[in-house]
Amino acid sequence: MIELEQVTKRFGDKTAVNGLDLEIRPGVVTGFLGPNGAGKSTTIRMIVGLDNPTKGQIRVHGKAYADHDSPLRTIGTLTDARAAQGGRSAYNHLLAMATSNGIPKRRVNEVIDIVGLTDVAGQRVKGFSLGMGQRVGIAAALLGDPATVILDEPVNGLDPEGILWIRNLMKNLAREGRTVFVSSHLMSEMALTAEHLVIIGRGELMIDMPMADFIAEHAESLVTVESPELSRLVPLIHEAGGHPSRSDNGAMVVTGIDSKTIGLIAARENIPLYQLATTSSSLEAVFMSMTHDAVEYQATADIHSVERASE
Amino acid sequence: MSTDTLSQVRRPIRVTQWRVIKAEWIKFRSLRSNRISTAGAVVAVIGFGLLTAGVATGSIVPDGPPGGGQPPDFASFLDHTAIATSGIMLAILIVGSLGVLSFSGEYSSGMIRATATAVPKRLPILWGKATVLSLVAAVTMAIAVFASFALTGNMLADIGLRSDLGDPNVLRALLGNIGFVVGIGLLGLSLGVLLRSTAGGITTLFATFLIIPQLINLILPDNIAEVVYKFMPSNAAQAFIVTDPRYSFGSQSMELLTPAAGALVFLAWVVLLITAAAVSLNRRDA
Repeated sequence: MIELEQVTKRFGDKTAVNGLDLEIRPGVVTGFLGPNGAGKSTTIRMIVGLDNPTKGQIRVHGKAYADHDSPLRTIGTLTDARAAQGGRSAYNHLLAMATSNGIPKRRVNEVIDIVGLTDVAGQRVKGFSLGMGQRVGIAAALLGDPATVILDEPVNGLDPEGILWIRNLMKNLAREGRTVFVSSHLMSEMALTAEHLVIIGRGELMIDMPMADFIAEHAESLVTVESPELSRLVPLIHEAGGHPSRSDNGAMVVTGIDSKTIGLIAARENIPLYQLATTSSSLEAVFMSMTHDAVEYQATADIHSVERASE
Repeated sequence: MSTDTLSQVRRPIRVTQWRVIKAEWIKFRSLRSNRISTAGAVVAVIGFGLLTAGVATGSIVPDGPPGGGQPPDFASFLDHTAIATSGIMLAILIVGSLGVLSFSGEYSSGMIRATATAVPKRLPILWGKATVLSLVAAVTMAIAVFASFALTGNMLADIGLRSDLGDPNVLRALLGNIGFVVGIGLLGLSLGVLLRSTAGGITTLFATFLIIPQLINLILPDNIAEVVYKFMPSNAAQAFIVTDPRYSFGSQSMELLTPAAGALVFLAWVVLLITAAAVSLNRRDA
């Protein structure tokens, strides 16, 4: 259990995190979401003692991270950028970290095997690709076999294979009963892996709820309807409690009632249908509209108006 | 991801100062640049000692100044200890830079994030690095200085300049040179913590501690310059790294402290800077 109590972090006159109250519960994957600059990395850095909060308290299993006998055994951390010196081999990097906490050499070899770096462990980190560098970071996070693993933007910049690997790794870590706290700026990524969702914007807590509840609350189902007699269908849909609207390609998009109801209405009234399909509104869109006002740097013209202008 | 390995460990898994020292030793020896620099410092001290001895005995004749006059008659060519340690300034440059790099390298590469999450109390990292750097510098400089003294002694015996370790001030000056290098390494280490930048740290170290002191008598009024001069770290060190003040480098017109006072002042500088580094490391965000 990691508890944050009214945590505030200021850098000069800029407030990165503002009065954050948060409990990271054990045994689940918690997705920590926010646009760039929302304070995710700062929050993570404060949890593991890299940054000191300006105000507030953070407790990891009841005490400060730094007060634990073996920090690496308490929380494994993957920081947002590479954290290894280029001239040193992956093996020596991990060995030095392990040695400081009294973790035996054979565990170093184990984590190297787990992340699949066995063949290149003796090579200098300098020549590693982004994905291999990320594996070194994950290996370091697993050194102490910690009950909690914190990963800051682990899929950032990775190729599809790397993303899949990280996704499976997180699922495995959770299956082993570990607490996994993972930050991302991609809602779609979190919807696939996280059971619990925390969203921050401009350093303030916006959402803290189970992912399933968030999806139930925010993911509306949309029904796309195509028919030569839409004008007859529209009043009937209104009558049944649906909200029809025109989509870009001339079809109709209905919210509020499901495809079954629309299909039955059409059959009863002998209205031919060319298409009747259900889609879910993208959680990404929900997340973006939610954090829109909280985005640190906004492009001055939004994408749609640019598209319209170029048409 | 078996938990067996760690649950079977006999000694408890936790951070201790000794373990952090071992970790810092692994970090030091696993960078090729560190190994090369350290070896380079030893070679520089012995090589420069032999070269100077060669010049002093006349077996190496340097080109004279333009116009073909006699080479300048350096006082330091007349003392075995000064000749043997004539390369110490090169060792100072190398070990001082190594000191700066041991922290600035962590900041520039992001390694500090790994180091500080493994040892979040942070001060053991400073003591660990200081211990490793001091031991490496002390052992390698002891080898270099005593080897240089022995090797140059054979050459200098011919011209009657050879001293003995038992002669007045000789052992003190030789040990003083070793301590000087160790101290500069620690000053560099502290500046690495305070400035977090390799270029900034190295420039500050050599400007403030080695170059500015030589300029003091040009900038300040004489009566103030006299006092400031001898308390500057490099000049305080000059007082204990030579057998006699006349063999020191720098301005011969300026007075130096006594060897004991010089050692105390130099030590005070090191303690002051390391204390500042400790405070900074504890307080600032990593």
